[in-house]
Amino acid sequence: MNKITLFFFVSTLFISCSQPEKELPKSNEIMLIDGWARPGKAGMMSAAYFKLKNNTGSPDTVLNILSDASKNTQMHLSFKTDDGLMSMKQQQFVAIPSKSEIEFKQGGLHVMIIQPDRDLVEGDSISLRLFLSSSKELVAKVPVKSVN
Amino acid sequence: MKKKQLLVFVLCTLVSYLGCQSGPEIIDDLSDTSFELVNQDSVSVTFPDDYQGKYVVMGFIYTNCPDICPLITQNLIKIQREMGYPDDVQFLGVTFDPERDTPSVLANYKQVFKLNENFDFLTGDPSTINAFMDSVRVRSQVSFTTTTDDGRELYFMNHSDKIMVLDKKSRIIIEYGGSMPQVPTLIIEDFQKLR
Repeated sequence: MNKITLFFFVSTLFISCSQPEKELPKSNEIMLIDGWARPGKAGMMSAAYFKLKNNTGSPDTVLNILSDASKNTQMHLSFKTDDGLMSMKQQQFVAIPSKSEIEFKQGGLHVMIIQPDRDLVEGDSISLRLFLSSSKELVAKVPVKSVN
Repeated sequence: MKKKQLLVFVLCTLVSYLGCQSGPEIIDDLSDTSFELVNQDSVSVTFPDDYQGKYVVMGFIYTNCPDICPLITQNLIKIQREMGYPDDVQFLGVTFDPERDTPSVLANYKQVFKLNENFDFLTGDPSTINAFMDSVRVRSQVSFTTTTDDGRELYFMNHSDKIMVLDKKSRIIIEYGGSMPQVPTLIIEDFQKLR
């Protein structure tokens, strides 16, 4: 190794080591975070909530969500009607813009878990399988927890 | 008296008058009503007579509601907890879907939310519930249906969003949107002024 090469090697090493610690770039994918499902008795009603973080440079869309807790799950949005009643509207898809985060949260977007086939007890978990328009599938386990 | 002095006098008199007005505004008086209802343990309840002498904090729900009604229930629970589980305040959740929300269904709902003795869910025969909901100005209507796994139709409802407080004489004195996140704080503050 000649002197010039050695100089550049040491300089590069020094510069890279002296950079302030930066947050490592997140993986280039869509992530489901902070998920949870409300406790519920078998045959009654529950719902799941979470955030979806799109770290990619492309928008994506949730087309469907399945769960091992019920054969019947639907995406809905709660809203107030013009005459002041609380209502819900089924969402056939939910867009996730690129480099952004959307939230399924109480009083808003939610995954309706209709008539779960088992008791959903605090401490258990359920799986959610999200089908995206990019042909990707996102699978996550979320805890059953009470937010009383 | 000069105009300015007269204005000050009128304002002072008005402030003094308003300050002397005691107690909260009465929104509605339910003391002359009577509804035969039943709680989650199938125990008969005469509303509001059985609760006279207690404050009542009451929300309106249906148990097949996946999102808003659990929020209303959570708010009732939060109010009760943050008030320290007071003995003189009865907490109630009344269903506007009596066809499906039988006492045993309400018992399951109560169990899921881990509620205590001072928190009851009420139902009744549909005509009584309709009359009851009219008296507290709670509206509900079937909004859409879906088909369950076993081929049965399951309906969902549009509904009022309300938590109300009755005083010890069964008069409605407080009303808020039941699922609003700030409702527990508002009601607890209102109670502090009442006591």
